[in-house]
Amino acid sequence: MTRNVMEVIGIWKMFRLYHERSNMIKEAFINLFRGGNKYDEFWALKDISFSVQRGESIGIIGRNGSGKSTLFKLISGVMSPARGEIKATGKISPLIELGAGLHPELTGLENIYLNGAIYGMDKGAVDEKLEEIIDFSGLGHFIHSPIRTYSSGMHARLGFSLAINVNADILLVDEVLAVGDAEFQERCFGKINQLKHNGITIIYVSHNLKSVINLCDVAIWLDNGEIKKEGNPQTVVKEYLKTV
Amino acid sequence: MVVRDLKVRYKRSILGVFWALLEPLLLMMLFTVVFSLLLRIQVEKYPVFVLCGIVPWTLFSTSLSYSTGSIAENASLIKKIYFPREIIPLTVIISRLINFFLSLSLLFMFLIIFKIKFSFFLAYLPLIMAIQLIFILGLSLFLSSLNTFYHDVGFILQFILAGWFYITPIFYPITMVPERYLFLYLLNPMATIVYSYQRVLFYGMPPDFSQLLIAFIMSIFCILGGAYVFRRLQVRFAEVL
Repeated sequence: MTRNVMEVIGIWKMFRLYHERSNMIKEAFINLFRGGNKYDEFWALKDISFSVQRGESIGIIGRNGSGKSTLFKLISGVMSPARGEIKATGKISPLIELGAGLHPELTGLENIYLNGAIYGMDKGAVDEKLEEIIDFSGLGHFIHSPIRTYSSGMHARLGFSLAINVNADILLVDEVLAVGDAEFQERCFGKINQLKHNGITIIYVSHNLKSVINLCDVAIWLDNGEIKKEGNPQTVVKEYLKTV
Repeated sequence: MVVRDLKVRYKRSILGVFWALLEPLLLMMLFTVVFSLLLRIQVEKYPVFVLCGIVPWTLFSTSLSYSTGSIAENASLIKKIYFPREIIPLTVIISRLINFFLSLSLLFMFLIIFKIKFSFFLAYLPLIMAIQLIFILGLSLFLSSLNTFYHDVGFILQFILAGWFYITPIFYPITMVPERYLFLYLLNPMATIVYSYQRVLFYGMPPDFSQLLIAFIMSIFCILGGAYVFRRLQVRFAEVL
């Protein structure tokens, strides 16, 4: 049990689907008298449990709307579950949508420090990693230009090299490697593999089933908010492919 | 984060951070013309007097109006990365505070120009500022979290701030307030706070400690309430943004 870096224990997540989302106080008042907003309950995740061991890579697959992203947000702490809990030891770094925290008016360099702060690194820690981050991004002297002048590929590259260089114990990788050219993708997978060898736990969500087989030790197939199958990536992917 | 806020705010303006000095200066001139020359409010050295109110009021009003929308403005961050959400309104307030210190230096310049003696009651300045910050922080937590759910909060706030400005002794001395309303008037923490600034900076007097204590207690209630509401609402930020 002590080797588990993360335990997901029976989590449930419900979203309210409003017929008319009231964003106005006036409507909220009216609804108060009518006895609340009308909404449908939608359970995005139903009783999900699994555990992750140190250094293990877990791949999560499933069709659109199966709850992958919701699970991701719960693990990263952005949302909280309705029921159940997630126990994690160590620092979690999400690689969701690269470059989310980048500010367009600031230069690449300024953004590195800003993002480092958001990921919980102080200036000294960023200084140490700075060269590596800039090298990996391959941005060269563009690092001194404001981000708004970057192409989307450059944007994503900076975001990736930032997130990957945060000293995380658990790395969350969403469908992000689709960006960037083939060469950069190659380097990303190389880097992720290297991190894996260093004993970093990786949770990977993807539609790229081949990469799940290549990268992961365990695959979890989510369907309609429930775990349909869990186990060896090859067999899980095979089963999953039968249904599509 | 603070540096980001400041940099972004002044990035596309030519005068940059000097706006922090220019803004109170222009307001001071405007108020002097309108209230001292035209409406003839009788206060000696009126420009410095009004500046003593403008500077802390600007800290208060800009902190509130900038922080109210701050959570919604940082939606992309909140939806992706977990970090303590309080950091966002806090950052706004700290960057406003830096602005405040800049304009405070301007105020001290005018105190010297108008030959107003510095009294040792200036030592109370940090105390007054601390109370004001607690008050601001409490309101900001409340407003920014509520505004995430109902964007009306931002509009209502602008209206409230406009009214609040008039019930605070900024462009008129507190002595103009009728005696029998004074107690009610001073229930407004900002009235006490601005008046305290004027006493230590302009009049060379100590603040009225019993009044300040009331403002302090109200600020404490404000920050406890604000933190409570913020805590309760923040778990759903990522869902509604």
